Amino acid sequence: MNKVIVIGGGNAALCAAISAADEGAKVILLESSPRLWRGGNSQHTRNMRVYHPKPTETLVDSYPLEEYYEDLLKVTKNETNEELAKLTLKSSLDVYNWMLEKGIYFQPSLKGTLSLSRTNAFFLGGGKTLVNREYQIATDLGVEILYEHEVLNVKLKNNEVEFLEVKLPNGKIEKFKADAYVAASGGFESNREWLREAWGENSKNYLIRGTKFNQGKVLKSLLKQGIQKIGKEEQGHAVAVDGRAPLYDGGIVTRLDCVPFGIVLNDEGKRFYDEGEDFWPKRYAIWGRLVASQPNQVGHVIIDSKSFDLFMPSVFEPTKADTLEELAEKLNLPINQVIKTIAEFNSAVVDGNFDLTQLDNCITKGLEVNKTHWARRIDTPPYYGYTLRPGVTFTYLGVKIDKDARVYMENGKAMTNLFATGEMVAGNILSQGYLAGIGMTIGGVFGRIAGKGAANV
Amino acid sequence: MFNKEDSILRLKDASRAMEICNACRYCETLCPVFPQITQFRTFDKPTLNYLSNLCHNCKGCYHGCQYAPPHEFNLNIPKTFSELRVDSYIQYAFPNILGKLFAKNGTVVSILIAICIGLLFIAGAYFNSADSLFTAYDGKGSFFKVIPYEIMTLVSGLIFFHVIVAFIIGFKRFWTENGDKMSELADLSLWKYAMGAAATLKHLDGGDNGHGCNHIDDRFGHSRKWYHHGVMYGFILTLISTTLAAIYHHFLGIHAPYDFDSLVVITGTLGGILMVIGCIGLTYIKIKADPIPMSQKLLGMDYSFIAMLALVNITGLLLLVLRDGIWMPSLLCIHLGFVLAFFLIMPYCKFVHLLYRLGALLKYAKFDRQNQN
Repeated sequence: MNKVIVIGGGNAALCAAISAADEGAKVILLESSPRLWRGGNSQHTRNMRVYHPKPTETLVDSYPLEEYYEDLLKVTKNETNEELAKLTLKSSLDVYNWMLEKGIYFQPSLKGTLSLSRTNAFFLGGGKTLVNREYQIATDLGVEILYEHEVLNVKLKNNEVEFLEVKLPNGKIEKFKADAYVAASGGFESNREWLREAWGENSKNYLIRGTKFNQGKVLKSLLKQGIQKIGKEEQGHAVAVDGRAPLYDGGIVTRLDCVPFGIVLNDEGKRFYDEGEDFWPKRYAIWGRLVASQPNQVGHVIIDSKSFDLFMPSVFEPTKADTLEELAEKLNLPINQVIKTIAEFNSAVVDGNFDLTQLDNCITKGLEVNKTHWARRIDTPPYYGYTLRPGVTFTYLGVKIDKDARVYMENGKAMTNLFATGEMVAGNILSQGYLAGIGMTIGGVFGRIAGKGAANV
Repeated sequence: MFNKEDSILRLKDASRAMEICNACRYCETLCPVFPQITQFRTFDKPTLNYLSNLCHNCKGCYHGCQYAPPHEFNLNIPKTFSELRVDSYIQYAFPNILGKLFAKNGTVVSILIAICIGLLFIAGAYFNSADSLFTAYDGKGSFFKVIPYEIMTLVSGLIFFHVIVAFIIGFKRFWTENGDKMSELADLSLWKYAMGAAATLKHLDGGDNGHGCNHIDDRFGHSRKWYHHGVMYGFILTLISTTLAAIYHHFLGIHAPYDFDSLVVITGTLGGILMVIGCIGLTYIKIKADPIPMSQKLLGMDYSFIAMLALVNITGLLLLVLRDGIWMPSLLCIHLGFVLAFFLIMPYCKFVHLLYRLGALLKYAKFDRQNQN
């Protein structure tokens, strides 16, 4: 019977642990967080993108492989590993069916918030309920779960893992040895120091939407020892979130959907990008980068009372004022410039038929930065302001794997006893951009492959 | 603990929690409460009272919550709702002053039981001689030799009347708080849904796929529902037994104690056993359960209620078994003491959850229909 150690405690790690245990291996799962914080970024997820040729229990209509692949090519601008990408998409249905078989619940399709019920299977109660269920399944199969066990170093010898250096809850460091290892411990987006090295000083103003436990220690240890990297260190996926969100784990509720209904000013009181370029679900991801490139890495959405009820309620109260001067003052913006920007914007608005449901004809004309849809004058008090900051979702840097989830060295050799899955390998398929729910698919597909592989080395 | 200032703070905190839930909505299909939350933008007291009484305390939303403690948002909906419910019981109680009994409910219930048993013994001794309390009686009407029939009927009649009045007024206060009119209750389709949902505890099944609820930890299951069924249907059977006994007495002229094979004894015994099993099961779940999503302030109320229900039935069953022996008079006094305490405290203990949850289910049926139209 093989002994397998899984590093990490999110969906990908659990899929690996469950698969390895199903194959008869003795499995230990090392989760760096305490019990109540377990699950990594999976606890903030909600769904998984699943190919399906015909309707399933919880997925409507069909989502053909070709369409899925096209969607992937669109967001990655054609840069993907075709073999691994196609394997992922094709296996997504197997993962979904496997999860159903294991007793994981999906919610019935609904008129969901992002209208994704055709392409994505929603976990009942969200990612944390999913992860809870996966821990139960793993425990029932005899997987030993060790919380607050942080892997600091993966010691390699040639193309083999010799042992792990693990920090125990009491602070002592101990060696862990197994026949095979699965690395599933995520990216490095929660490691402020690494972010500063890779992304510069400004990254201190970024918020992290997910877990604070993605420190990237395993990733760094592997890359330092000659493992082939994939993805660019300087790339990360960020969206614009409410500036008052907590530093970590703000998750879904810190998103703000009001940008298309107002204007966005930087700290100098000036507009910098077309707020109405496209529907928000198609644009929210670029606003992270847009805001990150502004002074102090902030943006301020200004809307008036006409638009207040048009978007999902936000979790923090907006700044509210009866005059624009007062609002600018409360938001700590240069009052004169704000008044000037809004006056110019208002006089550039060309009246059209305001329509949320389509790319309407409400535009501005003659501005340096025009708003191309849903442009309406900001003139009906009270006025509301929301401050935006970049919220980092994940990093792309990872390790190169093959279709067996086996990790590769820079010298082209495959590791004999090391497999990887999850955010650590997402860069093999997603070089840039993001397709909602594909992270969980990648984790699930390669988690199952890695677990099976590790159990049978 | 359950004073006005704390209750205002709790409402404020609950409203903050609802706004977070409204911006998240991951729990949308976990139970019927969350789709209701999305119907509101602001959360005033009547709305929160409705939502918290609709909550069946399955705790799925705690275990699945990415903002549950130790997250700084500190969302703990089951605990928040449990405490809001008690605030609402206090608010609706009639007469208002007795709403105070909900605070320190465990102590109140225990003292009341002790007093009631004491009173029964005194009455027993008064109507008989003190040593006759340890005499074996047999034959029809033996119970009434201990406590006279007229006294039993008069006291229970008065208490029953009080319970009915308190329930009607409490229910009216709940129902009309958000502007709903009593006349809307004439719509039988609302009752059809609410009674069906109450009879099956449908809302403890989780969402549409029937995964059940969390009781001890983050595993889903149905055991709490089944134990609750034991208590609820056991209670209904004992009510049937009591009603049958009244019919036997008044219309058939047959007096207690009744034969073991009579319907009165069969329904009563079955009901009593079901309730005892249910109470033990519910207590086991409560003791083993993860303490974080529970309000420690309410444990006294919960345990005293379960214990009282169990003891009413255990003493009743003991009385049945030992009714021909010398322990009958004292057991009768103890049993009637528990029964008396139970009915006296009924409108001011956990029992009222039945009333307001049924009301919330009726409101839910109303909302649901409005949405479909």
